[in-house]
Amino acid sequence: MKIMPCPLNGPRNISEFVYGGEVTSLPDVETAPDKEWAEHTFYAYNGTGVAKEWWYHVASGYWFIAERHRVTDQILRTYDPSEDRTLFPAAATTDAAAATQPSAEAVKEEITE
Amino acid sequence: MSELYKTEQPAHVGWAEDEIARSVNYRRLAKTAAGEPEMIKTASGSSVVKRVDANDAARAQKAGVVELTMLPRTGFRGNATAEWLAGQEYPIPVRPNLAAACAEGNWVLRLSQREYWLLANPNDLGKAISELPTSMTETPAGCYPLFCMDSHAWLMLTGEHVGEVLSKLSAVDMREQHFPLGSIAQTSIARVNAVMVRQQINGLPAISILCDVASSDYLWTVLMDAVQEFDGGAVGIDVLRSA
Repeated sequence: MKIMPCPLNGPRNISEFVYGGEVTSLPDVETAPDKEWAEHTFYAYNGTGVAKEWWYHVASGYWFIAERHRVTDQILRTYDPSEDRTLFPAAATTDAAAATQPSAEAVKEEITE
Repeated sequence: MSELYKTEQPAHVGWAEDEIARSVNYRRLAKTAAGEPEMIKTASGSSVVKRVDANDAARAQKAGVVELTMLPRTGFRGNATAEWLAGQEYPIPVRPNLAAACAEGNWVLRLSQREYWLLANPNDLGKAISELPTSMTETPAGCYPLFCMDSHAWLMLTGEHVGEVLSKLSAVDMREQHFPLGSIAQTSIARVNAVMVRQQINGLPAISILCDVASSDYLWTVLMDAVQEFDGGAVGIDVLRSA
């Protein structure tokens, strides 16, 4: 089974995740011509390189971003959307940084504290 | 409109408040019990099985399965939730996927940055939890009630073999050394998505399983099958209550 590292829950079977499409930016709502909207809606890049994609962890209802290499299918990095500067330029990242799964030892320490 | 579609029921039926409200697994429990099982009423007025038979305590020590779906629980989500709960003296787990026990035995589960679930303690049969607000008008701005009592079933595994039982069903290691007291795993067990919490209740090691209520019928059969190996089986809520 392929393993996906979830930023909130830690490593999980890929069967617990749903692919949500590539991370794209919306065309300008006021000025974009129909052609640009059609391309945004119906066309997807189908080349090589690193893809930045939305993924959803079904068991916890959590959306996050994964960077995956299209040739090797290797998952390079996963992170909370709030850490993405292009999506949330002004968003604080402190929350999401705390959301990664710590080791069992760290959990024990936190509980016994 | 056809006669077939007409109903004399009112739009809202307070099933959970009705004293005959029982979980979907009640009939199964009734079959395992010698005669009709003893029932006990929760704070919300519905019924849970008190005792299955005389060997409940022994089974609970090995691998017991308790049906707690009718026991009150609730959830809140939003930016202001942690502060509001802390103001009511509920402990706030330091990060997502951790749970904390209150002094009186209720549990606070932190499922994400801003989502908290509260599980009733079997001693007061959910009195404290059932008194928490269920309407957005009664909570502060930025704190929204969730209806996990309706959306999720609550099954609990008890006893020394809980970790081993779940090893058969899940890819996440939930044995105690890797999944200590207060840990939460949101993952799939036997292909059903569920929230698992490691607890200690009335001296028993326990793991609460909160799964979609429509799957609890299936998950019950899976758990009953899984605990056979450890001489476990269904037990009543009495094993979780102190004297």
